[in-house]
Amino acid sequence: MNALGSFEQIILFAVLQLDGEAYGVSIRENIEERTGRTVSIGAIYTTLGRLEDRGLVRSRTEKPQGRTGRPRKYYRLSAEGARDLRESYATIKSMAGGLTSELDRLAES
Amino acid sequence: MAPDPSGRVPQPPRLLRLLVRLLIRGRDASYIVSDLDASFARDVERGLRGSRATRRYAWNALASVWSAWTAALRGFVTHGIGLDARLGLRMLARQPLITAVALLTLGLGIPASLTLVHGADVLFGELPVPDGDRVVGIRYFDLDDREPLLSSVRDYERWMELRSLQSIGAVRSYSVNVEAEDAGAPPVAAAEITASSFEVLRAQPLLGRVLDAGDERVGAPDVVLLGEDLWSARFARDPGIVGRSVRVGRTLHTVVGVMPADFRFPMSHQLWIPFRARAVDFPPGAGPRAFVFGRLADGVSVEDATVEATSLTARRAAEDPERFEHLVGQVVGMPFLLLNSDWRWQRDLLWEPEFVVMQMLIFALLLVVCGNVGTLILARTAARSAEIAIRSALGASRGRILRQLFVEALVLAMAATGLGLLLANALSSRLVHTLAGDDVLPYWAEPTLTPRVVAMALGIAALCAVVAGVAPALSATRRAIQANLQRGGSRSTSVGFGIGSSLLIVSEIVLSVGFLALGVAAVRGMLDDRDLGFDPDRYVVGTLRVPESDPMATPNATDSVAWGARVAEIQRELLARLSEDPAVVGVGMGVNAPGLPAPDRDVVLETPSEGFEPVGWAISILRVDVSYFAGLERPVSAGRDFTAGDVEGPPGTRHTAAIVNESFVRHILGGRDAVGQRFRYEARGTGWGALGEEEWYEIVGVVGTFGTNTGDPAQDAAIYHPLAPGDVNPIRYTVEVMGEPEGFVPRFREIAASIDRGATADSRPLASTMRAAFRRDAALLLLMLALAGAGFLLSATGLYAMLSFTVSQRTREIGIRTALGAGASDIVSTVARRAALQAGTGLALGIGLGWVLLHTSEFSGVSTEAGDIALTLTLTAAVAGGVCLLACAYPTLRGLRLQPTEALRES
Repeated sequence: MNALGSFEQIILFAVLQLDGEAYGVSIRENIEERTGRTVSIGAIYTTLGRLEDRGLVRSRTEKPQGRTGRPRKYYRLSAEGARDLRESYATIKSMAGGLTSELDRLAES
Repeated sequence: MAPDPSGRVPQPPRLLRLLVRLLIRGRDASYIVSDLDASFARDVERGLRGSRATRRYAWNALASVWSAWTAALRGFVTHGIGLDARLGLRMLARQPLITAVALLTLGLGIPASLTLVHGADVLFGELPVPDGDRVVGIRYFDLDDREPLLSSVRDYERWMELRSLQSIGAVRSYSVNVEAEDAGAPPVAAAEITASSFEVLRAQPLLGRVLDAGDERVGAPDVVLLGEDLWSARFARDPGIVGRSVRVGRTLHTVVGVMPADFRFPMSHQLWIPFRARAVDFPPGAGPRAFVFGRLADGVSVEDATVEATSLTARRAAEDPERFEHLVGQVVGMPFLLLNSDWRWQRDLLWEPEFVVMQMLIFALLLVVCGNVGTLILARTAARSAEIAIRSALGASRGRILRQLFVEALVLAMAATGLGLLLANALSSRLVHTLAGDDVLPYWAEPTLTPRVVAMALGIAALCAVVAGVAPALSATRRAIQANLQRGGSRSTSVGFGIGSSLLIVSEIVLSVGFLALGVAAVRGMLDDRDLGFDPDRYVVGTLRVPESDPMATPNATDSVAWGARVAEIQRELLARLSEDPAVVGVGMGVNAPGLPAPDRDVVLETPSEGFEPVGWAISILRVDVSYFAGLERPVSAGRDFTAGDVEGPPGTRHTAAIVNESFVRHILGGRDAVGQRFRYEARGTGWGALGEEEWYEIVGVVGTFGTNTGDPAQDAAIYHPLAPGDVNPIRYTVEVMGEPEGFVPRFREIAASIDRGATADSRPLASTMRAAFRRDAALLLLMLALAGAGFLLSATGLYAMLSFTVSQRTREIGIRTALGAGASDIVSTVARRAALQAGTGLALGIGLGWVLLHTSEFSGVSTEAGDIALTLTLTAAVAGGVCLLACAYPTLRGLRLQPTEALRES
């Protein structure tokens, strides 16, 4: 299993949710909507590039549509990526089990 | 910036967009740029105001540039240089012999090449005081004599007018006897220091207080400040030391404080008393001399202070032209003041032509060493031609292969430099102390590595990697890939040892054999038990210094005649008391002592010796008391001994009688009768005022050769001049003792202390003083020997690598020749001809260089006598030739043992 960093997990969840429509802008908006965190396009692409090198995502490019259209690179989760994400999430979940209320108490004290 | 009703997509500011396009590079650059634009357009569509959308775009763009660049850097390190470095490390581990030799040579060579810079950093760094760069020295520089001058008390009082300095101080060194239970305890380095100095240096005491202005008043109680080391050694760290009375020199002083161990200002001092001299007590230009220094006022630069010092000097020149016209006021770095150096700042020193030339020579030697490491790497690269060809065929560019080979060499050079620097750091303290001999290092000189030296060493390592790595790599990648691929299967390559590598091998053999000759001579000098004409193990040498005036006495102009008489009386008394001591066999007094270095001069004979030019001979000039030869039982062999009549007259009278040694008679006079001959000194020299250059001296006697220029017996001619007690202060006593000299050392001090408590006496066994005097040369020679040895090992390995390479290249040819009936001599000639030519040329030229070095060498312990030089060179040739032969032997034997069938099958 490939160890995943927290930003990598966030990106992979966004790619999973966008289901074939994941490219820089849509991933950025998805993360912003769901986490309230602003991330840069460059950070998304460099992370996706790294994940692609490790075989966790696959990409396809689309040529620009019309005169003012822009090229896009769409990403999709690979089976290996899905397994790694599942494992990472399961690890976090099992570690956090029964601790959330304690965590809330401590954080707000 | 609302959405364009015409349907045009909103665009971010042009300049920002252009910057993003320029700065974002890499495989997804076009998508990043495009998505940044799209994000901006979406923000505008969502109704964000123009400035907010632009700010969001700017942040997004900057963060994207940062991500893209850090990702690119990470990739370069892990997949580019990092991969090459890992490959490099693997190659180093696979070829341990080549790696070890290259590590040894570069590890010694790179740090050694920075010795001069390191020395400058250590000796001429900043004082370890708060804001040490603001503390500067003030002095006059004599433009006629080209030397710096110490300041008089009056000068100090005038320097106080400088407004560029917020505080100013003065310090003056002397040595003094300090109370001890053991009367034979050595004297202590002490300083008279102004109370203001502690403000300049911002120094705080460990106990009690520092000196204050009240202590400087005439008639104030006598006080003293002790150093922590002295407080530990003599007073067992007595916590009640402050307020205690301690005998310093002739009088009792009250201790007012103890300074911490890291304060040893100005050099390595352990005791401070108030500086009470005042200009009013002395005529102009007279009185004690001191180092003057100050702290620059806020906002004042060194240049401002220099301008002010110059204008003050000009004012003084107007008042007293005779004394000040040829002087210039200088503001200098503190180490330059305290070491009395001609230079003013470290930058002057580092750009001094002599320094630059020396450094360039060292770098040139290093370049040769690098070139030879390059030869080794070339041999290694040659063996990898097939690998390089395959990588090229698979798409690696020439630049990519060059980078890999460069990084491999860089790994080697960096590893060598790292090891060398670690070793240097561990050894430099010991080495510096050895090189400095008995001269105690100033307290600010900490011989550890400085950041500049480390940075320079790493830079030089990178340059070495270029020389040793890129040149072979260029050679290895020059040929066509196809050719290398074809040869790859046959273990043969197109890489060769060209004229460049031959020249390198030869030049390195020349240099290393040359220096090896010096090394061999030094080793012979050390092993050689020469007859010095006396046995140093039976002697103690002691130095007696009578302080000009007791520093704590009321300052006053010294009555020079009375003082001279007092010095003479003490010196005479000590001589008499020593000769009466039951442990003493004989004693002589003089400026010089046998076995120790003495100044040398060229002489001109009134009647020149036929066919003999005495100029160029190092003739030692010694000054001794008239009873010296009788006292040490060295009777004259011709003529007469000195008599009291030879030194008659008031102080300053020139005494014309001289005694020469037998070596002088033999070498300079050509064996003639010496007595009655007259000579004078060449108008060049060491500034010895007592011996006029225009005066003629008459030889009245001849003595046996007695410990003159022991470093080089071929140059042991000497002239002795008589001196009267009191002429010179301090003065040395050479004492021949019964039993162990070590046992007499404290006795000497006890006797001196019993005559005058204020006079300081230092004594040591002569043999150890001689060793210390010559230790610097010995250490330098050993260092040179180590470098020459490493260089020689490298050239031998270069020969070995070249021969091994030749054998593996020509395996097929050798096989065919053997099959066709070639004899052993043909094979040897095929394999070793070139190596033999290189080794022979290198050896011959190296011996020539050795001859020149030995003839011009001024190292003590290296004989310049013709017979000795010939023997040294023969030994060097034998050692060097033997090593070359060994280096050639194994690959040649491998060539001889090749079986034709195997050779043909293998190739």
